[in-house]
Amino acid sequence: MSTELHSQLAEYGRSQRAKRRPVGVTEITSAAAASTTTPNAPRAQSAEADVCETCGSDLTVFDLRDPVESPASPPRKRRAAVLAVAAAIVLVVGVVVVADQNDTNVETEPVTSATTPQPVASPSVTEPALPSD
Amino acid sequence: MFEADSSFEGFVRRIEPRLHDALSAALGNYEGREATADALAYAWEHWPRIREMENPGGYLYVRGRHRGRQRVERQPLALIPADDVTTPWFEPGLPPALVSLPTQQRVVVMLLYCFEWTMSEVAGFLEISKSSVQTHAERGMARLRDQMGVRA
Repeated sequence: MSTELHSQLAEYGRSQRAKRRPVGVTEITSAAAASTTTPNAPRAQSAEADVCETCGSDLTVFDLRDPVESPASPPRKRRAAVLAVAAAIVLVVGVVVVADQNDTNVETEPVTSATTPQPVASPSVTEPALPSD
Repeated sequence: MFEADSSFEGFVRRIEPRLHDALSAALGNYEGREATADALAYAWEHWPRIREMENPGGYLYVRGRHRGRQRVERQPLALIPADDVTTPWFEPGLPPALVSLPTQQRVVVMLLYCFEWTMSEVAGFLEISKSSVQTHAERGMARLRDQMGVRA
């Protein structure tokens, strides 16, 4: 019975393999090409020429194009604005906290002069001199 | 479309059947194929790193299984279509019994007895010891016998 189970498993495996459609290289590379994160894929070429119209020098070396027109600019600007606002908030909160802390220190400072009882000069008790006869 | 270099083509020819075996055993027929395609696409994208690996098949198996697991958890595991008339005869209780095994036991049992890998091949591919393979196989087969009413 146990060998029958083994032979059934083997038969089952053969049937699985027979029905299988293998994954081919073409299918893999097509899927990878469709993906935007493919590092092997060549970068999309810009429609505009990377050469200076005046002097003909290669602009790709230093990327002299106006960054405002670049598609990456809006997110970069937005990120910079968010960072500036966050920094301002942190600064304001810090100033308020420090100022508050200074006020607290002033209030809790012990005032020794007001609470310490001043020594009271005891009246000197002097016996009046007895009149001598 | 991008041309795959010859080393990648050779890699796919060598690794695809084994990866497909293992991922089908883990995830079922349809999801196993999808996961194999995903894993091999990942290998193509990261080919310089993958080609240097000692056990790229095992790495891609883990990756494919991880990616396919969430999809499989939403639906029952289908090892073989119920209405497939071309399926040769075997005990009707065998596919459900295989599905009911814990994943690692099912993978080991199917690789050893359905796809006829050697013990060393299974251990090397899954990166587990031979004794672990033996344990999973024994427990899986015992469970299968119980479920199918087969005496050892």
